[in-house]
Amino acid sequence: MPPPNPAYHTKEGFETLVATYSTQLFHFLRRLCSCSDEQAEDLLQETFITAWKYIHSYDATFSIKAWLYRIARQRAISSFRRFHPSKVLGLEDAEDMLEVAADLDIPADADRQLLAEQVRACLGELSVDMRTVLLLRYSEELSYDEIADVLRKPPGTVATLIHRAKSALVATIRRTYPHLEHD
Amino acid sequence: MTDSRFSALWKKIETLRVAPLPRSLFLAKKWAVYVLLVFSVVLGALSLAYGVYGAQQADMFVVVQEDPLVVFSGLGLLWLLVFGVFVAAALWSCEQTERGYRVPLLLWTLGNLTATGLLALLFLAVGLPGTLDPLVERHLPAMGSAELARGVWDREERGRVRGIIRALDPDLQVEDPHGRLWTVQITPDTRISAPLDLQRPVGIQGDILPDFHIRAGVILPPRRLFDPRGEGNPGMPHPAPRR
Repeated sequence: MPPPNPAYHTKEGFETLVATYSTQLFHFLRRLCSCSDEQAEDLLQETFITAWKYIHSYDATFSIKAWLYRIARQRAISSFRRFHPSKVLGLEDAEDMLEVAADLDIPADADRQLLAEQVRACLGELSVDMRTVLLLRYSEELSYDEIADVLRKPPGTVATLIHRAKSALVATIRRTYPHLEHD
Repeated sequence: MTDSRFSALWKKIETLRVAPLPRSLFLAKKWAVYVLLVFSVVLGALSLAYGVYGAQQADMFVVVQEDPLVVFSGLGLLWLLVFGVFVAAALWSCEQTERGYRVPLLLWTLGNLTATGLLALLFLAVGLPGTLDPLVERHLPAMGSAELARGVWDREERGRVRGIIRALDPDLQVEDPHGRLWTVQITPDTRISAPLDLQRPVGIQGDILPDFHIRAGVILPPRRLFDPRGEGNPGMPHPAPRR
């Protein structure tokens, strides 16, 4: 195992890590769990505390970002037992939702804001894994390799999962909003 | 925002007294599978090479079957155990390490078996089993020390005496490594696979009877030339006084 970045297991290095990724992780956790800011902040703290505890297990040949997202995802999944997240995602994620919608096979002339809200609502209906891959790919803009590291699945499986998640999302949107059907 | 976030986080880390787990712990976890890999490959190669060597020495299994078989099966069982632990560790490693999925378990397992086979061939090529055999015989006797001291293994149907034919008439008599004379009872069921000549070393398997009698089930050539004084035969203890 190559030596970890020596900075990460010092207070100063860890502070840099927190400063670099805390905002992204906070938004990821809030979207993934559909939880309040306070709950997302708690999850973020738990994520970084876990990261601090296991900092020596991090292999510097891999992406620290993917490693942190993996921990965050694990914390989010375990938090589902504590609180039951809303299935409607936060309203401030319209741009992210449009990022997702842009890659879906739905009419392009649909009202952008309405579409964003519909995607947001339907995204909450998907399974955690499907929601995770869509968020990581379109919202967090992680590469397939990084998503593979987060999910511990081969990149091919990740690609399949993203494809299935998109299909499921489109199906949910069309079922929920039939007026978006193609002519 | 970030500063206050880190301050709150660090305060909580200090309050909870969370410290990074030692790096050695993760190193041990990571390298355990490699150590097991090497261990299982070497053990497997040794048992395989010794097994092939034993098969080439046909009398090794026939005459003194307990010795090599026990060693071979002991090594083999130990290898199976280590190999099993290795597979379990590899499976754990595949699931637990970063990008472990990139090294499939099947690849680990096949790699292990291939390396085992190649190393066994190397061992055979350099004659390692032949070199090890005397050491194995010396240090891993099939018989317990008490039985070895007596030169017999007193189990029904599996008693064993080896020695040199000292008399043929009226009874076949064999002198064991300790200088004791055994009277050999030959029945119609006795399988005789060695010429019965005076001064010829033989191995006898059969029923051990009182007063140094043995009812022979099979009479075979011994595995190697036998020195009744125990010299040149490191597996045998110092001879006992002659009866």
